[in-house]
Amino acid sequence: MARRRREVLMGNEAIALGLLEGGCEVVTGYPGTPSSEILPAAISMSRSWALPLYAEWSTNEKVAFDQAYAAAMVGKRAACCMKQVGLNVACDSLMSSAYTGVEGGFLIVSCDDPGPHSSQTEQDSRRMAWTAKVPVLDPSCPQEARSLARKGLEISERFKIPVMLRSVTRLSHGRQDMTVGQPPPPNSRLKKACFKRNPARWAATPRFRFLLHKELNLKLKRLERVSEKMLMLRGTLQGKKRMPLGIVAGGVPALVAKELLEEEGLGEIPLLTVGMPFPFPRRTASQFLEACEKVLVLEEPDSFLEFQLQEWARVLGRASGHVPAEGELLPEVIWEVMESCLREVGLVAAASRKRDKSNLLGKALQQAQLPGRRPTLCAGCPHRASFYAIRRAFPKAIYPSDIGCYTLGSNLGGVDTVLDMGSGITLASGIYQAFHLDGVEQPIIATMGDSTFYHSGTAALINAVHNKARFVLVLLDNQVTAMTGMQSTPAWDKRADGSPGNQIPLERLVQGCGVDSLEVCDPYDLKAMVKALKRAWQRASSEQGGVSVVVARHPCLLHQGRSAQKGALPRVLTERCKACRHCVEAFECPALAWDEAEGRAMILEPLCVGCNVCVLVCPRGAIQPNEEVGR
Amino acid sequence: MNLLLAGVGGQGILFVTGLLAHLGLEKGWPVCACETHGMAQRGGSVVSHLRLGRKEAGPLIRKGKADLLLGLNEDEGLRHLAYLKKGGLLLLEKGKGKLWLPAVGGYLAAMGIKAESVPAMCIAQQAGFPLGANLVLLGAACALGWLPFSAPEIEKGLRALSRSALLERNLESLRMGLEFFSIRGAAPPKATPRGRALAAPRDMGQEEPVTSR
Repeated sequence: MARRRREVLMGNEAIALGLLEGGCEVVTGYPGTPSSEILPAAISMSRSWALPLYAEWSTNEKVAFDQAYAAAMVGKRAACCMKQVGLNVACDSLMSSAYTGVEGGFLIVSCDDPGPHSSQTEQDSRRMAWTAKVPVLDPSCPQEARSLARKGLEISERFKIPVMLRSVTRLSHGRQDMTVGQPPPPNSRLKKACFKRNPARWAATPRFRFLLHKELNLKLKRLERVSEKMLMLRGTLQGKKRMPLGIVAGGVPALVAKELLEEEGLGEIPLLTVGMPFPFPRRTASQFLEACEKVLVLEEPDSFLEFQLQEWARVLGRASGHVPAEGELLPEVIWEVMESCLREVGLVAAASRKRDKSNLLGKALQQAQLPGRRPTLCAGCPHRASFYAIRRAFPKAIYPSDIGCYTLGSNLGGVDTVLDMGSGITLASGIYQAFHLDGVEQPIIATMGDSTFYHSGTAALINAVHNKARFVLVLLDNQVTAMTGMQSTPAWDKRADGSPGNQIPLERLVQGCGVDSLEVCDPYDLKAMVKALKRAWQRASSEQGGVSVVVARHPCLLHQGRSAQKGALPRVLTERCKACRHCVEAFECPALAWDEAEGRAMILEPLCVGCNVCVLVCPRGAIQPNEEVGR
Repeated sequence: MNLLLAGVGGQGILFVTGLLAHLGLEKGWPVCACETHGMAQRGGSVVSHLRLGRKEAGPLIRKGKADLLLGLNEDEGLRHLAYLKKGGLLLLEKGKGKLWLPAVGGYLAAMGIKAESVPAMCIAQQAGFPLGANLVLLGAACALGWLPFSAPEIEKGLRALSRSALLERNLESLRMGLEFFSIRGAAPPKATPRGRALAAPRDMGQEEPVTSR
């Protein structure tokens, strides 16, 4: 890898490369789409270049934040990576660390998800940075993300302040060609860990906090000068005559806007790209505002530059209704916005009508009868068996659930609530207490994955047990953080980089939270699991009851490798199938389909992994293991 | 050049995108790509935007601006029709033959889109390597002259990127795609989509073409 060459890198890989080029020695994180690839990329790049790096998948984002922050406290350059809702978990540390500051460069990488594609909110990390009073960088393409990751570490160290690098899905998962080669030898830049005792700073009481706040505000004032340099003006601001329209943009929409202006021959329209939206480059921004009649602001997922421009009468954005307030700013959406603004200021003629084409398209698509594709649990997924057993054992329970692959248990009717990480337990105990007030005994079956339980289950479980809540908690233990791409959990004997780690089994944790009723079962054995669930509820609702925990343990098939699991495929026995559709509707395995011609269920062999759970699902025993066929 | 690839999880869309990106890089072109992640492995649709030869391009292709749409799955290909520009190129996995539906043909004709379909799944399955359907389709696109890369270039790229266990079968899949139109005895078609919509479909004889319902 010593030679410099051009390579196509994913945005997250580019960020990892930028971190290493910036002399970052500690990278931590908790997996979350779209941020999950940064940490593994940093590990593999540090290996191939023999660079020093400590990396860990932390138990949650707050832990990840603190781990990396501590390293920066003692002078190392460090970074923590998370998705935007993960930053919520780390928020307490974020707010406080802005006051206490850092010694080594410290970068918080937070990835937003306009759309949203795989998140519960479309929140904007730049606003979190503003609330916490830390500077934030907003790259628009992978190459820029790489250089801003490095620059962010430098700025952080120079001003002794945490810095946020904000990415978005299309940046993190976008790919771009760039020159890649061995970073310059890091040894000259790396610092030995050194803790300078300073209670007035690191252990500041409120009186000192006031002073730290003052210091922080001074840092931000000075950082405005840096912000003024991190912007790009395309087009010219002619001195005397105001331009009818200018565009202020940040992040991916800035790049898209630039391309659209070029493509549509609108090069005369000035475009100001803001690379550091906070502290805001006020001087240039007000010059820009002066030079333009109206200013369109393009940014996502929410408004931030728009508010800081502080010129409501002339700013076109979300507040004025010019830019959609929800969803992704796709290129065609941005063009639509730009077009309507151009019309409004009289730069292009009124809309030409071209509605009829899309009607033709609509007709074509209607005739093509495109099937809807809802995401579903994989064929052979142990969670499907668990949810089926839960529904079978307690058809009328309330099912609080949580965040992970198993959120898709909603397809089986086994997920009633998904609020945030850890809420499977907190909502279960909250719902119990509310019904208990009315003297109603309501069965509640909560579900939570193993990684989610390590992330934020214990505090919730301790609270539920202490306060005498009664419900069944099913821990869906597939022994991996599956949803985000098979990251390790604390139950593994291996850590993020493959080195040995100490295992913390779920059972010990559950018992440590004060739970007496604990059973472990394999969801593939449906009958045994249904029985275990019934026993668990019996214990939960008995006189001495409380929270009963059932650990439904079976490894994730994607992680194990499908082929390894492939047993004998089941087949449908025609004569016994009474076309009740129970298997396709209540079990909804992607490998089970309805054969319209034959009027019975069929097994899609290329998809079937041979878990044989459907054999137990069919009420008439029409699905039987196929003994002859072994694959 | 703007290329859009659409299909479902497990079809190797990301592999083909990676291959084309690699080939673009070999030519010294700027390369930008963006793909959907996450739920895809759980049965969702997968779309990949690939932009070759444009410096500082945004990650996504604007609707109506794609030069070529490769539909590795018939339905997913049609679902993304709006991305194709006027006079764009559409190569679709044959599936149920929805390309010959009158309303689809009507839209393609109105937009001047050249369209072809290849029963890539059938061909790959018959060869005993269903995973190779993506490369059958790619080979066919190359044979039509719709790709900015020659057959030897693609083959070289495949050699560089394939896992060694799959290399031979990948090359074979590509070759079957390259030969598809010549085996069918027809020169790469010049017919307009309207003409094609009226003509008898060239299918492999396994499935009935869907007519209007």
